[in-house]
Amino acid sequence: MTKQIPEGVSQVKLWDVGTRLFHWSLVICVCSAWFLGKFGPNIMTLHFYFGYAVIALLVFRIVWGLFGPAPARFSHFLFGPAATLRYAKTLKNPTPSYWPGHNPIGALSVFAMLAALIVQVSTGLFADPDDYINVGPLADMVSSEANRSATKLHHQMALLIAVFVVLHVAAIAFYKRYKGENLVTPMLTGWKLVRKDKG
Amino acid sequence: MRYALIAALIAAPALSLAGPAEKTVEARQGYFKLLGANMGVLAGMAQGKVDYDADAAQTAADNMVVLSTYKLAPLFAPGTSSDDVKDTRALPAIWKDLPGVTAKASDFGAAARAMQDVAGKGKGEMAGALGALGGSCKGCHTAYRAE
Repeated sequence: MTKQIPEGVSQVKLWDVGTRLFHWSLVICVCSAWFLGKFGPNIMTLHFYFGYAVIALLVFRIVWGLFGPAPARFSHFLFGPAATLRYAKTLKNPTPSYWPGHNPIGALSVFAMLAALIVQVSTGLFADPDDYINVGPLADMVSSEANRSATKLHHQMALLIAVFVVLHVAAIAFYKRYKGENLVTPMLTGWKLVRKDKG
Repeated sequence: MRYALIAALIAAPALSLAGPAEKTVEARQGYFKLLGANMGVLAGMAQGKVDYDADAAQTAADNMVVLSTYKLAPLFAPGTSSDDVKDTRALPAIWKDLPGVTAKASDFGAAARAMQDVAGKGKGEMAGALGALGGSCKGCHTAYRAE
């Protein structure tokens, strides 16, 4: 670390290896499943496999959110409206947040993304697009009406997930360019500059 | 009296059209049910849900080819889209893009003939042709069927 560390800020190991591996595996699996779904071959076997991988990752993240290291726990980034508003007001400051974890706005994005992906993998399991080659593994367990609703929702959620991803990447770019805070490297190395007074 | 007459003149064609359009939709759905029944036989065998049976697979494939030669124009009569008739998922896009629909129908025909060539030759061969056949279903559903 050659850069001067400001007063009241220290370099800490924030993101454990599990959270980091989870994050980048999710990037790979969600992007692969998404593009295979939209542009992949007619037989969507690979799309299915990436979907199953996303299920496994979501299960891991939920377990990690309950029993994992402090910064990864849901309770660590569950904020009330007041705290969220207070943080939102600081967004316009062109200075790093030095937030020790998921900040209140980022936390919203985490919960929204996890919820959207849970809906997405669930509807995928029950979807049946009537082409006889791509049938969700649990599609037979429900009515064809339900198959149809699941398929429709699966397609709509794909759009929403794309919007979430774009917003997420835009936020990371905003922090880097406007606030001068690099959030990518901490997710790679685990080390982040954070405020000493909190977390 | 005059208003009643005008109302009747307006209503008459609407009433007389309602019947045939719905009947066309029913017949059209019957056509796709037949496709589905034969696809179901092939897909069931390919996925191992039922044992592969060369004769049954060949019959299903032959039927698909017969169905692919069925003249579809009457089943897709104008005024039978999801905008016109309840309980159909046939999007108006079909009638706005008839050349596109025709091209997809001929893709289906080609895939059905390819299936016919191999359906009785073994499970692996049949399953290999199923992707293109199912893909031709998928191609149309994505473009022309309401979700």
